Amino acid sequence: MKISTIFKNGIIKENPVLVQLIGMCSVLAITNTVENSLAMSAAVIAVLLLSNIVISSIRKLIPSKIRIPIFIVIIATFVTMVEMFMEAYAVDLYRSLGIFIPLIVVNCLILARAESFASKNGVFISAMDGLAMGLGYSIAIIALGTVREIFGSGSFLGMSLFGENFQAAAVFVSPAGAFILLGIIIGIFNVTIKNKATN
Amino acid sequence: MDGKVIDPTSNDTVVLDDMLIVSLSPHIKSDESVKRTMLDVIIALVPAMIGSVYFFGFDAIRLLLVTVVAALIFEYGIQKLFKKPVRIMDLSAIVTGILLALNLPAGTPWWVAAFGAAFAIIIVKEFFGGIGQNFMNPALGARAALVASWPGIMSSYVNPDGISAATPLGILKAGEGNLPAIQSMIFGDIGGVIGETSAILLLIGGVYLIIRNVIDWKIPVLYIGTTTVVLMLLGVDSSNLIFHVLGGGLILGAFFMATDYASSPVTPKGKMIFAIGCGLLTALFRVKGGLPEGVSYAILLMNVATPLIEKFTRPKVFGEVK
Amino acid sequence: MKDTIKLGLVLLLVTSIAGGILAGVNSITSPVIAERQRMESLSAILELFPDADDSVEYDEGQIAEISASYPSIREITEVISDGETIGYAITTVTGGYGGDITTLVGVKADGALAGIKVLVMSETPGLGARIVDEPAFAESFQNKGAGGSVTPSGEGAGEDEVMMLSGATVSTNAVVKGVNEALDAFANYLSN
Repeated sequence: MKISTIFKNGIIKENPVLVQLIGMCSVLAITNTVENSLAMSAAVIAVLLLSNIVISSIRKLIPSKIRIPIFIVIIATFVTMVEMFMEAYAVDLYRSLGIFIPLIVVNCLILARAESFASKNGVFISAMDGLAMGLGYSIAIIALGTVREIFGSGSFLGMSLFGENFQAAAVFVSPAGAFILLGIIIGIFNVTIKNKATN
Repeated sequence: MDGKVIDPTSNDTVVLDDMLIVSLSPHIKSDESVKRTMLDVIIALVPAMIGSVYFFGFDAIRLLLVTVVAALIFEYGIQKLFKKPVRIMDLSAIVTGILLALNLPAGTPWWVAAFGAAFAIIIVKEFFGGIGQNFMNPALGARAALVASWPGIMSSYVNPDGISAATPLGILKAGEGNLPAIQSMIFGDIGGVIGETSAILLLIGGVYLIIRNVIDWKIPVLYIGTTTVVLMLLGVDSSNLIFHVLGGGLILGAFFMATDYASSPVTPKGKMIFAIGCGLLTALFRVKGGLPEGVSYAILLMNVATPLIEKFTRPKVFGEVK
Repeated sequence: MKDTIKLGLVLLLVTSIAGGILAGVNSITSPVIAERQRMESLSAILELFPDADDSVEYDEGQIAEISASYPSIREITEVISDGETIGYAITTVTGGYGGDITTLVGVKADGALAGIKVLVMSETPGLGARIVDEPAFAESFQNKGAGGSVTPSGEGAGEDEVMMLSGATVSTNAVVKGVNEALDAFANYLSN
C-alpha cells in the first residue's frame, strides 16, 4: 500500500470525523476553542501513533480470542500516560479537556484503527496509518474549533478579534452549536474537497 | 398565482401549488394556498404588530423591519446558493420574520435580530428542505438559539415606558415585586417580548385565524386549558393562574406557534395530543424549571415529537385488520 | 480449560507490563502534581489572607464531623501568621444554576469575612458567571458577616449585606448559601 494512499484515506476519503463520523463525543465537547482542539489533536495523534506501533509489532503474538481486551489495555496505558504528563506539565489544558482525556480510551477511532489496520499490517505502515488518521481527525477538529471560537467567543487562540463591544453568539460554544457547525463543515467538505477527490 | 392555475403561456400543463399541504382525506378543493394562508396569518398578526408599535414605539418598528427584511434576504440568498427556485413571494419568510420580532425584547440590538432571522431561515428552514419541511418552528428555533447565545440581552425586558422591568412570570418566579393589574395584561401595558404583552390584540388575531379556518380552534384551547389545569395540579395559587395565562407568551404561542402546519401533527388526534403535550410541558417548565417562561421550549420539544405522534395516531385504513 | 488459563496468563502479562510502565510514569509525575496543587491552594489562601505565612489542613475526620451539620463544607484550612491563627479558609460546594459552584470562603478570627473566591463554576456567561467576572461581587463580601450571616440585597452596601446580581438570583444565592454555612460552622466549631 502506498503511503500517499494512506494519507489520502486518513485525511480525505475516510476522514474519521468528516466522513466516518466516529469519536463524536470529544469532537463536539472540546472543540470550543482552537487551543483545546490543538491539545486534543496532539493527545489523539500521540495515542493513535503509539498504540498502532505497539499493536502492529506484537500482532503475531496476540491470541485472536482476547485481542480486543489486549488492544484496550494498550490504548488505556498510553492514554493514562498522556493524562499524567498533561496534569503534571500542562495543567491548564488538562483542566479544560477534563474528562475527555481519559475518554480517548473509548474513542472508537483508536480501537477501529487497531482492529482494522494495525493488527493486520507492518509496523511502519501502521505508524503511517496512525499518523494519517490522527491528522485527519486533527484537521477536522481544528477547523471546527476555529469556527466555534471565532463565532462563539469572538477570538482566535485566545486573542480577541473584534474588540470590546462584540458580543459573540454563545450558542456556538455549546455542543448544540457544535452539532450545527459540524454539519455545515461536513456539507462544505462534501461539495468541495471530497467530491473532487473521489471523482 | 393562486395555486391551481393552468398557465397558457407556459409549457407546463399544471403549475403546482408552491407547497402541498399533505393531510388526510377527505380532500376538499378550495382556493387555499400557501400564499393565502400566510397572508391570513400576517393579517391576524396586524393587531399585535400595531399594539407592539403603540407600546414600544420605534424599537418595535426597528425590530419588525430588521427581521422581515433579513428573513427575505437570507431566504433569497440561500435559495440562490442551493440553486433552488426562489420562493420568497410565498410570504412565509415574512411570517417567520414577524413572529421572530414579536418574540424579542424591545431593547434587542439589530444584529441579534438579524442573526435570529438568519438562524431561522437558513438553519431551521432551508437546511431541512425549505417550506413545509422544517421540523421545528423557525421563529422559535431562532429564539432558542438567541437565548442560548445572548441570555443577558434576551432576558432584559423593558416596560412600555422604557424602564427595565421583570415580566409578570418573572415576578411570580422570584416571589418578589409587584404584579401588574389584570387590565394591564389584557391591553399590553406590561414587561415582555414586544408581541406577547397584549392579550386582547393577540386574541383578535387568533379568532380571525379560526374564522378563516386557517387554524383549528382545538389546539389553542386545549393548549391553554391544559396549562391551566396542570398549573393547578402543581399547586399554583388560583389567584396567580390569570398571570400565567395572560402575562407570558402562552397566547402568542398557542395561537400562532403551536398551530404551525409543518411542525405540528396532521392527524386530528395527533393535533390534540400535541396541544396537550405543549400545555403539560409549559406548566412543568414554568413551575419546576429554572426560568420563568416555558412556552417556546415546550412547543419546540413537541415539534420534535411530532413524527412520533403522527406515527401512533395514523388512522386505520377502512377495513384494515390489526 | 487449558486454553482459558493460557489466555488469562497472556492477559495478565500484558496488564502487568502496562501497570509497571504506568507506575514508572506516575513516580515521575505525581510529585510535580502534588507540589503544584499545594501551591495553588496556598496562593488562593494568600489572596484572601495576604499576611498568612503558614497553614494547617484539617484532617478528614474533623471535616466529616463538621460537614455532617454543614453539608456544603468540603475542606477547612487553618491560616496562621506569626504563630497565631488569623482565620480559616473554608471550601464550600453548593448547587448553582449550571452545576456546582466551589467557593473558598475566608473567615477571619473575629468572625467577619476576609473575602471569598469562587474557584470552580459553570454558570451562564453574562448572567450567573458574573459571580467571577464582576470583581465587585466578591469584594462586596469583604469584612461582612460579623453578625453571623450575610444577606444578598441590592449593591450590598448595608451591614452584612452583599451584592445581589440582578438576573443571577440562583448563582448569587448559591454562593451566599456556602458562605453562610461557613460562617455558621466557624461560629459553632472553629471560633473557640
